[in-house]
Amino acid sequence: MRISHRLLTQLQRLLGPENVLTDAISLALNGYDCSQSRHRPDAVVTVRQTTLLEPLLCLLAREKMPFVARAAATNHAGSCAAVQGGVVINLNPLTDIYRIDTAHAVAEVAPGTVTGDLQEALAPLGFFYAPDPASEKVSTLGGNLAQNASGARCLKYGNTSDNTLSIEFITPCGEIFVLRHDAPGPDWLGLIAGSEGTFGLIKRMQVKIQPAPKHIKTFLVTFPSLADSVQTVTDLVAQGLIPRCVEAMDQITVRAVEDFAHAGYPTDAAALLIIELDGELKQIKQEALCLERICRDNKCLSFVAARTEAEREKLWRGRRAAYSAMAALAPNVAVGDGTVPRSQLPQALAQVRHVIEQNGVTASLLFHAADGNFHPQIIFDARSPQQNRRVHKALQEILRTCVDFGGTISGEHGVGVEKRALMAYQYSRETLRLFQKIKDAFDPLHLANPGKIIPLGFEEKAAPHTETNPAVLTLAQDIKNRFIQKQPSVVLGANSQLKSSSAHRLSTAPLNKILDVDKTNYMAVAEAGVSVKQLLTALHAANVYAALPASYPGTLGGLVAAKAWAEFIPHLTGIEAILPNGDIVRYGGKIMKNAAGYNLCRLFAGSAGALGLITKLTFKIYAQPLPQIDGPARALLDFAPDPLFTALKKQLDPDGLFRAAPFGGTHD
Amino acid sequence: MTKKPFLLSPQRLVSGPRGPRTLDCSVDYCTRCNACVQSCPSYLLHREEAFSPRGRNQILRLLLECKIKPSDNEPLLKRTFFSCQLCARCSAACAGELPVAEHVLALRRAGGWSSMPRLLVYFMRLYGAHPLVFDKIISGILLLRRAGILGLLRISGVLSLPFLRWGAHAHTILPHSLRTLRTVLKKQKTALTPDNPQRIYLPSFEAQYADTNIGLYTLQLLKDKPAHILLAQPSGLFEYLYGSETISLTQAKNLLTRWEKLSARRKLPLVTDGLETYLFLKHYPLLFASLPGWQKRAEDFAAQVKYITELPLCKTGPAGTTNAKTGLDISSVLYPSDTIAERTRKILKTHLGKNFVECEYSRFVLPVAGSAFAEGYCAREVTLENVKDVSRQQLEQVYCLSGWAALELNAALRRHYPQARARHWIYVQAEP
Repeated sequence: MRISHRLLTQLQRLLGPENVLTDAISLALNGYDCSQSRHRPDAVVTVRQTTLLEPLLCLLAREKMPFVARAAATNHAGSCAAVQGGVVINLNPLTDIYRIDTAHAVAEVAPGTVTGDLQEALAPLGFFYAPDPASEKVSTLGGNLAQNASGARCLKYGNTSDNTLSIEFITPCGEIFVLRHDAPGPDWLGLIAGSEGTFGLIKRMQVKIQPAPKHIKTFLVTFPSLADSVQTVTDLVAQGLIPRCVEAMDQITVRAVEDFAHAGYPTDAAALLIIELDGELKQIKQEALCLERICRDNKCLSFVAARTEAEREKLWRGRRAAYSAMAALAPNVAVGDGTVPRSQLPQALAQVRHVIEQNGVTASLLFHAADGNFHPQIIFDARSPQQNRRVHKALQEILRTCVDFGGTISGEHGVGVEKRALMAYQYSRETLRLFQKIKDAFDPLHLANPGKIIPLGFEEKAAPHTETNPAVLTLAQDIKNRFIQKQPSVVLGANSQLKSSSAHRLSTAPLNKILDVDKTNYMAVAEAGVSVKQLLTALHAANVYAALPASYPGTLGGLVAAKAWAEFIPHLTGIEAILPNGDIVRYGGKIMKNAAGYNLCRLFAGSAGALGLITKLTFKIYAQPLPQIDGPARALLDFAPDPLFTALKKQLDPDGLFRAAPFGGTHD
Repeated sequence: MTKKPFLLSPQRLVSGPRGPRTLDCSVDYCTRCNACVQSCPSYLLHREEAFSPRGRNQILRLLLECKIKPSDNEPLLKRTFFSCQLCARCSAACAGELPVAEHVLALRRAGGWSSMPRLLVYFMRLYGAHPLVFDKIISGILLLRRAGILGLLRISGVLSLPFLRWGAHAHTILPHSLRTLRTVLKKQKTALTPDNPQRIYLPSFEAQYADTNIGLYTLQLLKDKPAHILLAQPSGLFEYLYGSETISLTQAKNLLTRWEKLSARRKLPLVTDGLETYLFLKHYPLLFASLPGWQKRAEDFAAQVKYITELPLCKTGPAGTTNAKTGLDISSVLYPSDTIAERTRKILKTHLGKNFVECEYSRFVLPVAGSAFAEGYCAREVTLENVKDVSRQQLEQVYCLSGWAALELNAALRRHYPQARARHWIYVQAEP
């Protein structure tokens, strides 16, 4: 695409001539990130005030010019490569920290604020911002949210989405929305997190800040096998002991790191864990005793606690030097990212090692043991086409392995253009079609970061959804028939939120099974029609707990669809739903992290049955009761459907067959 | 006049912490992880990829792969590559310790581009080649300055002429009462070549001509053992940065040979007072990496190079008597200096107690080794950013490990934040 002279003049008038670049060097320099992708845009514009973002997007929309938001460009997925040309919007100058409010534990920032800078500003106030992606010293908060980055502290404190309270969001047409997780209706903020800039731009963010823990204790534990180390983490979670972080390495990685950084790691162990506890001193002491007992029960070879800050620093030195250790060995390092259910980690890692050996590449394996998320770091020389091919093949096979083990092709790095093709391996045709419709709703002209996430030609490449549950199949067939006959449907659970006596009711009553209470991964799977009370009774019988209110009268699906208990939504890890046209879609599963595709859990949460019928949910369970899990559930509010909802509804249900009163539907 | 051709050879050797590599190989080691970006002062000023270390590496790669033509992009290339302060903080942040500053120098040399006014480069060559002539000229300029002629020239706008702008800057940053170290030592009847010297002192250029107190206080530190004073002995750093690489190498060889002669197999320690000079001398083995005969000698030499913070202070007053809230500046060029910075922090903490603000107060490297005199550098902007940091932290004084850094910052502070002052670290020696 060639940019017109008229548009260039208008851009220069809006942003200043010095902020609109079209020279060969600037175009080349804004066409890459940390991945191997390189795509030149047609122009690069630097935005130095957030107030200019809205008119800029209006102007680009008027000219139908694609754009790619770009800040630090530290992602490993090619998320900010301009695959279809257009304009790259450089957001790096937007670094303002507008407000730090320790009384309300909120910081308000511009999207180009570097995460490390916010941490530095918070540290003297005794506060911290929880997400800590490895690139936090250079990556930006806007970029972190666009990729839904997490980091080592994710297990205890959640990912970027969980730590973002609200955003000002600009659609590709230049409309501004203020979005919050707990606002009525679908959780748009949760959906935008991880969307890699394919829906629009973030103008301003409010993030959660927390008092910094007074004490931190770090432990180095080694194990004779990977399975023992993973079992240790499972046992920790089973005991309700959630460490600040659990970082792990396999033997080959430990040896490489030790050769490079001399951090004092024992090289004879098959697996090594760095576990960190934080909180009050008394609590840490108790947890440390429990931790030691669990580690010893799992045949740990050594259990070393850092006694001083210097010792703690030394333990971390090796982990931090892992990338450098590999970077010293070859000109290029390809960093992979895959996630599997935690219980599958030992088998999956063994398979990954096999893939690495088979392809004749050298790689280290680092993993966040508690999340089932691992990062192979493959070294190679990009100048050699043969090595390039081998590395690419190995990475593809590793990610396919993750999917085969019930995992995902991205835990925290995103899909971008590098893993786009593999989306057709992970998701069904129907799910990818839904992703495409969501994209169309937000961005009908396909201007925002086009060509990302959704694979090209997925209708042919992706397999159709296969469903074995007869109840779901019957419902799907019923919905499909209604869709063909243009008959309306009113989705109902236990009639606790949405009262209706409509003849067109579509009940989730047949979906009344608790499918799995998995105490290895600490996940439960239940059908949507299961009542919350019945579910909690079953969970208590298994000595586990969920973030659900005991007094809620309705069904699990109803609770999610009505967003009656917003605190439960972050605990959702997987969802299955039937769309108004009868397509069955599935997202996530027993995985702690998923940065591949749009977060459908957040889309259906609060959709009140207007976007589809939820059939199955996967959510986190805990060994200990969670504090204050009760209180009045939020009633469905009457609110006018916002333009985002209307646009999405038009895509998914153009005839308005799925009716829900809160969104302007009727029960007839 | 014919334009010098652009000669960027991929096979050119560049030296970094991981040893010498060819330029194309060294550039290819950049994984584009961007870990370097927040450590780069020019990026922090511009917030554009072209002004980041990663961007500069990628530009070099494009040039080496002949994907862009230097002639088509010369203004942007110059802007990008001259905005680099050569501070090498990016190398310290880089997982592969890439010598980006060396890459930048390689490109500048390939284009035959120099940011330093030619007149100044030739004038500085006199310093090593004809020290007495250089001294006489400096004495003459000082006389003119004392008589107020330079002030008049500045007011009248003569010093604003492009080829004399550096003179105006020098007039701004230099102290009012200037003397040369040679004159002062002559007056004090200090022997430059004592019998049986046990150390060698190589005063920095600024200690000899800009702030002679640096030289004098350093000599106080050295007074327990006789030291040979090497006046007008260039280290080669200035030529390496702004002039000819060959002349730089010759100057380095001269210094090395002179040290060997003076040491006479005893391997005398060589002390210097400018951090950038010290680090350059310490890295002589890299400079001589392609000359096998010289490398071993350079290694022996580098092992004996000491910075003044490695000597014990001979202060008379008790520790912690200074009430001024103090910060430390570790600006340098080409090589990072963590060990020296750490040691200096410890000393300041001992001597100043809680008044020492134990943090790196600025991300912005001050102009050192005369870079503020060069065109195209963001010298003024980065100095102002430093002033902002000083005022933000309400510091009352800043100790600098480089004489040039102290002069630049002090001049800016005098103008924009007179509550604070900047001095060379050796002034700790003179504290009550």
